[in-house]
Amino acid sequence: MNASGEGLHDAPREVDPPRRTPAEASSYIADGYSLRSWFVTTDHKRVAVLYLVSITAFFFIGACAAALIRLELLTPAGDLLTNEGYNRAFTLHGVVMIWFFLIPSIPNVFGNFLLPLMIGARDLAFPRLNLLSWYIYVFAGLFTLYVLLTGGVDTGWTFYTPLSSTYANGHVMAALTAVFIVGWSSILTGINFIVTVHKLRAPGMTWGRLPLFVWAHYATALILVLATPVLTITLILIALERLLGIGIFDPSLGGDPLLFQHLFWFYSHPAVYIMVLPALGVVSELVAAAARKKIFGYWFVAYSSIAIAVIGFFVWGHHMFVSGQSMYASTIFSFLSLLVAVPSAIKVYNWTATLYKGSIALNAAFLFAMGFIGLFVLGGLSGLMLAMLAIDVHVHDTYFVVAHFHYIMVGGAVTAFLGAVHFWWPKMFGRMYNETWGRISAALIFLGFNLTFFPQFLLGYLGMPRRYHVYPPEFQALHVLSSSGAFILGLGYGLPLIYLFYSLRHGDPAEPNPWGATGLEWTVPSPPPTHNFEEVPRVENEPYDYALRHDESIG
Amino acid sequence: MRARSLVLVWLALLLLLALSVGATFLPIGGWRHGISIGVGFVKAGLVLWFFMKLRTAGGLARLSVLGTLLFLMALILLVWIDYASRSSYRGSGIMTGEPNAGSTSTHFS
Amino acid sequence: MQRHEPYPTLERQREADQLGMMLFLGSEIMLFGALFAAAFGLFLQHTPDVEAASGRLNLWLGGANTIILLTSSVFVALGAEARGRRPRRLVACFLAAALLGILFLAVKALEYAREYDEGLMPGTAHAHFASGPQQLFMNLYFAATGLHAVHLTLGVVLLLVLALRERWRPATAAAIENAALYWHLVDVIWIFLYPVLYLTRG
Repeated sequence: MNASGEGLHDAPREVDPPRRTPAEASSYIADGYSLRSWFVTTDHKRVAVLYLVSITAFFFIGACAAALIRLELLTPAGDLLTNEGYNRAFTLHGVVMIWFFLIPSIPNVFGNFLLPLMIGARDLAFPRLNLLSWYIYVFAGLFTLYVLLTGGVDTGWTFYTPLSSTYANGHVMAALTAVFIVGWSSILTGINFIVTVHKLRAPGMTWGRLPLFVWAHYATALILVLATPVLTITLILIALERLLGIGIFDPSLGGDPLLFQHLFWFYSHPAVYIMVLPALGVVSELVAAAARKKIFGYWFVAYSSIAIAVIGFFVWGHHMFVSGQSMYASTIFSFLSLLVAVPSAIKVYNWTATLYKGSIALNAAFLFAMGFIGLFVLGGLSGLMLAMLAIDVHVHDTYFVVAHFHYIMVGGAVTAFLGAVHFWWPKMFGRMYNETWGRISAALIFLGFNLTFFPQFLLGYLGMPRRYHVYPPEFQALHVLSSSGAFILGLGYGLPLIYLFYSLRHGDPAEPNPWGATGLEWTVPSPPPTHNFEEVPRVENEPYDYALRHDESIG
Repeated sequence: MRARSLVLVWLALLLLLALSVGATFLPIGGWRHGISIGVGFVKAGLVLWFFMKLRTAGGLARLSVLGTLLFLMALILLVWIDYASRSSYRGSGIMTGEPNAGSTSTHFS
Repeated sequence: MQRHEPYPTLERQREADQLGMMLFLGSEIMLFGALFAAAFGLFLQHTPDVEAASGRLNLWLGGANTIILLTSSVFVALGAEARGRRPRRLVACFLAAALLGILFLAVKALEYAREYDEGLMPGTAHAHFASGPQQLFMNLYFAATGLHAVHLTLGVVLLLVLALRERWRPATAAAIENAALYWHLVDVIWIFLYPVLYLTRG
């Protein structure tokens, strides 16, 4: 690979790559071909692949809902969907994308696959529990599919009472059940990760030598274990209210709908950190590998993950600034929300310092990482704006908020997910994909994403409310821009499916370390054997011991 | 003998139960609630320390319990702050956007 | 005890099991903790109503249940203590604890029956409450104690299974310890449920 990252994988080939490389023949993929060997596996790598397939399917469903929404919004009139239908579309989009794609995406695919490899272990702490997590996820997914096929739910993914508990039509119980069940998958994953990092590190793998990806997933796991149960009980309470009239959020009985919001957002705010922290971990790995340089400020980045997880538990009230929460509580939440931006910013500074005077490669994976940094900063800055009471009062429940969280979740988390796919694909499947197509995807996605969501900042600031499908004609131009962008974005997401799949059979065989990156996962063959390491490694090197060091970027 | 200390803890728990029930009948107003919850914390602490073996467990196990409790306290504390500080301006018109909202003076009307 | 992959030593595996169980218990604490937060919210907003409603619960039956559960807890602790050395004591203690758990459920059922008769149960209840918030408190009482009873039933089943098959298939140390921890947690939850629900009377 030359300095600009152009590689051996674009030139036309004279000889077809082998059907099966020697590494593949002794890998975890070749270790049993029956369906049973996959569905009763305890190998963390196989479970990761099972998750990869399932979340891709759900991404597609969520994307279809998004397509419906963006199609509807091309015109000011509500001509594609009825009011009820539109509500169901954005509810499905939210429920599927959050719980069935974003939350499991990086942790359950890349966390599962890489965590043991990165720390020098042969598997996670509780391999059977890992498989159970996947089955629970699939079982919950069946309920979601049922909701989808029977017409959907109109409450929004936020299930606010008293709409969800008393007035909503549709299959609220099934939707509640789906989310209730998938929560257990999250909790078990979290327990698995925490115990793995504490108890299965190889000799010499001290906390200070862990890849930042591991730190990020450890922090994520803390949130998974502590926040998810609060969602569980909240859903139970709504379900009880629907089934038995037993609810305590019922205003006609003197209950407080805001109490629901307190409980719901106590989970759902940390949940957004569940979605973003793993992405931040991925980007740390990608940035160091792209710059071929030791990450700047390792401990700052490591502790910032923990700080985000901890402070993230104390900011949930910023979703309730205009719901009737006391002004004093809102002020406290506002201050804490400003505080939580600091560790995220620290990461961005450290990545920038890492890139400075690095020898930056521009492979597809790294392009995704660069895109992430820019989009995450924009999303984060808009988040700071939203954290301020005075601004939020005006833009709450407008497209400004929609743009903000899509910049973080899509521009951030999904981009990082794709970056991870492009980076670790050779490791997971032993094949290189076509670099040029990878870069085209990255560019299309970056372009499409900005075209879709930047107009939404403007729309929101001008007053376009969210969750509305009928709007005044003066907003149409921006909506058309946004929907056009969505089309391009869709193309960008579709491309990897094609060339990645193609690479499985026709790609060049991958070496153990095609990117020249550091980390124990790059010391094993691509794809790895079932037992990961021939001998449990003894770790002596510092992390990210690239040839260039960070102080070479100073001066 | 460990069994003996377990039985002693059990007796202590029963005593504390009697205490909290007894406190319910004393004419001490709102302090009753504080006492009964406080006794609850002591009893839970005893169960965690002696029955659940936190006494001999490593720092990690203790930290998991402590950490959990801290986050739970954050939930309860901030909910408390919300409810406790709401009534001060309820009815003052702030949230409904009336002109001169929040003002308690009758100069402008 | 058998060492499983991927653990390098048995000691490490045991530590991992204990840590895993503690984390699971942490998640259960958050589960019930949020319920307590909801109760607290209700209390803050409607203090006199909550105190009045709490007075309709029978604190003596609740107190009896507390004694029952605390006693079952010490039995479980004694039984776990006897693991390996005195298997018959382990079985006896776990069975005693399970029986006490069933007794708890019986007392609970008795309470529910009386509350049903007084028309306090959700769905049958409207005319019998002085105010909406009082009904809310009762609803919360049913939700909380119902959820607790579900957890308790699971615990009883666990203890029974472990005790009854000890003769033919002795349980691993991890299983005994984890079952004990679970039972103690059910106890701790009740330790808080009792004052919050029964002792908040005016």
